[in-house]
Amino acid sequence: MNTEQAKEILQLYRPGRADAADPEVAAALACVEQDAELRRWYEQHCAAQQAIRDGFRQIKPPAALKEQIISERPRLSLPVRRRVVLLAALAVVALLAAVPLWLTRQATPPEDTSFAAYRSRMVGHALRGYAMDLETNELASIRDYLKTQQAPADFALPAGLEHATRTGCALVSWHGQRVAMVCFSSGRTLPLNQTSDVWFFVALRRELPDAPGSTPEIAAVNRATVASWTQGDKVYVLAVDGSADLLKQYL
Amino acid sequence: MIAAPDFESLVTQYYESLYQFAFSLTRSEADACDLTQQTFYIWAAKGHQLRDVTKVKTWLFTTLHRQFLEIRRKQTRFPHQELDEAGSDLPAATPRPGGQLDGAVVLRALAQVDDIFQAPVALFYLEDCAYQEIADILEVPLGTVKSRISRGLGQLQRLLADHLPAADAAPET
Repeated sequence: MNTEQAKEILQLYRPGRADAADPEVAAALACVEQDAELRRWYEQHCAAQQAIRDGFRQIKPPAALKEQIISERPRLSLPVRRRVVLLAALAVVALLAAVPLWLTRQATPPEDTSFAAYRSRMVGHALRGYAMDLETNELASIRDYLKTQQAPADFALPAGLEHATRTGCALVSWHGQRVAMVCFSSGRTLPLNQTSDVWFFVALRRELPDAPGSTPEIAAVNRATVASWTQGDKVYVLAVDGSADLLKQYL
Repeated sequence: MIAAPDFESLVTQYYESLYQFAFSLTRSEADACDLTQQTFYIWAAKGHQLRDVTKVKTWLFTTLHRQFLEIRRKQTRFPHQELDEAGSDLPAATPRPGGQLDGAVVLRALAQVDDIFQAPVALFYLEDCAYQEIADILEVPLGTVKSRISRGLGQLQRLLADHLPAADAAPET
């Protein structure tokens, strides 16, 4: 084995893994012991690999993601008897299905596009922490930014929000559509890494056909209190990190 | 027979690594959170179909990767987001002591690697997965995975050459 062949093999070698048991890798590592130039290359290669690996591992999930996944878990469990009946029915359907269907790979379940799922996702996004795209208290700047990002910008603020302290805005993705998220502060003392505790989400009505009507519907979602309504071609969700009393100040 | 893990234990064990994989593919915090969350919800709905519970990790990563590919296929519905626009989601690049690389720098470089190499390279570094495991996750033959990792690593290392003190750029493959 020459130096170039050894380098080619060691390019994919990760020290500390079972890769070393591979006879080719073992032979290449033996070359490293005998070839000073190859050893120098190998040491540099390992250092570079470690630096890149460390870089990847700096990716950290948002602090509340785990809590959100667990708290928003869909409750799908059925009583055992019903599950058996359902499985039997599915088995019959499967038998009747065409062979190509039987061979079809595991399909993705339909996406949950309901308004409840949308509201839950938006609230979860606000509560778990996010980066604001634009930090400003200027409503005109917020509208301009949202417009340039093809997000709903010509929204109607409820009277209670007109004079609330704006902190900025961000975009949230909902099944490929851009939702406008306008952030406010109630003035309460907030944790160090939190600048907002009132959020106003604007989405297009056509994306949420089962959204509430024109009268605000109040609900508790996670630890937030939320009002939702439809006006014109838009669906509005107003969420506060607090009680219904706080929420009503902004309606 | 090994019992299937309960939902919370599974989330605790894998949410961080799934998020890291999702973020390395999407470079967007919101999309990575969505992918991670959706993966666990698919598990909640369909995980009972998995007969071999030792394959849970592979199942989760495969499912997340399939979801990612599905979203990418729908890109006519999804406005294309340039990397510069996604920059706000990438961790801020900060100078680091010699020999260390910032995560944002690595992800920006990964974004410039050919699409087809990005997932195998991310799994290679993030999970220390065996090649057969990466092949199972990405649903491609072992030889293909090795070839993609090799070429992907070459591209990545060349892109990062300036950030890797004293490291030689990888040879062209």
